[in-house]
Amino acid sequence: MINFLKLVAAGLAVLILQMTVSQLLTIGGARPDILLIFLLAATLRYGRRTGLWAGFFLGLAQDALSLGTLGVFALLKSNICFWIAVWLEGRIGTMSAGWWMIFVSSAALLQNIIAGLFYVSGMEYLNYLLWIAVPSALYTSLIAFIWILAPFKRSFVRAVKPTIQRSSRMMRLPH
Amino acid sequence: MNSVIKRFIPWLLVSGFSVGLILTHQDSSGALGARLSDAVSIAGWPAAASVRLISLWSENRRLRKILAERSFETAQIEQLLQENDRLRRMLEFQVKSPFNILAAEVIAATTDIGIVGLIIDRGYGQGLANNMAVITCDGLVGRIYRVSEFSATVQLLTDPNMGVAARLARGGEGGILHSNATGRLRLDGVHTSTPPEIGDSVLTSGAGGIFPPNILIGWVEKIEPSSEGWLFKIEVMPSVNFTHLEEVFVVRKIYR
Repeated sequence: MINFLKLVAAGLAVLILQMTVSQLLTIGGARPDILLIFLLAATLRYGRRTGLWAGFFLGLAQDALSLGTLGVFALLKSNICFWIAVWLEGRIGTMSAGWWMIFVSSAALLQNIIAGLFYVSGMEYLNYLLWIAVPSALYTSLIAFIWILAPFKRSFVRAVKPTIQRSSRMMRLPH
Repeated sequence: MNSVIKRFIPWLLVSGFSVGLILTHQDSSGALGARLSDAVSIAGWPAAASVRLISLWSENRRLRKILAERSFETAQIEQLLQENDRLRRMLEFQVKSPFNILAAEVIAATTDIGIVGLIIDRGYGQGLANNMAVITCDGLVGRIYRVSEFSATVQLLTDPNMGVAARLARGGEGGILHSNATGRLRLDGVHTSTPPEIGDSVLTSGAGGIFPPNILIGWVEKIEPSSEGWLFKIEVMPSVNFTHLEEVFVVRKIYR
């Protein structure tokens, strides 16, 4: 429980970081979702249940801070984390950096596509997909690559960093 | 089974709670509903378009069928109107005509006996005899060439062996009108003090006793002065359309 609270606290810190420095990170319409990377890494490390609840609470916090429809990101993030963990259970033991990036970009794209349905309508949705949803997903995957290279020191942060095995580009999946 | 349910209970709780939050916190304009409706519309567009295409195709087929039926009916109505108009004109002509005339229906065209002619459905049983004049509301058609009990053969004006005593309505000088091999009517050797003009009427003169006088034959179409200078060769455009003859009148007596 303590670990979960620590995880949520770290996630909140990531969320606040994302909300405050996101203007600096924005390129065109593309904006990385660092919170999603954090949640995916936590899910891979701790499993589906942790991912589900962390996704729900941190998504809810994101909804509250972004002043959007309450529950949208809570629903999306919790479901993405949960179903990814379910899909990966018992499949493979390690994941290369390339697959990790594909993994993150797919999750980000799915999240952006569905989230767009809540905020954009008509032909604007097509523009949103082309100029915001897809570039943001690619941008997020790029940040995800930097994430696994970051030398985290603090224990609660290190806990959510994907564990490197064999080489610096391999990480361990949940048991 | 229980373990599977237990695995998904948290997910059901979280998802249900999130959906509940979305439904209760969506904006008052119902934009979420509209957007979901848009999404459903976009996803269902191919199916809707296919259904509409099939519907249009069947409607198009049905309309084509109706159009064909209506075209046929219109053609029939057109034909009946023309026939009605023609019969009305004939009736009027029959009443006003100074001649004792008998209406007859054209039943066939013939060239069997060496003439260009028609067969009509009246014969000597109805008082017809050889050399009676055959006319329509528009003008002279020809003469009775041969008569049987219930039918008669009419020699047309366009038969090259046919000759009709004719005159120009303006001036009064006349000659013999006949047809050449191509069916064009010519009035040769017209001696006239007044030069004829294009469009002048050409009438029967009554000379020869077969055709009553003053029946319209046609109009002057072309004038060629002969080498002598005081005679004219005149080409005449017939007033009767010989290709569409359906009913004619036989002049039984010149006066009623």
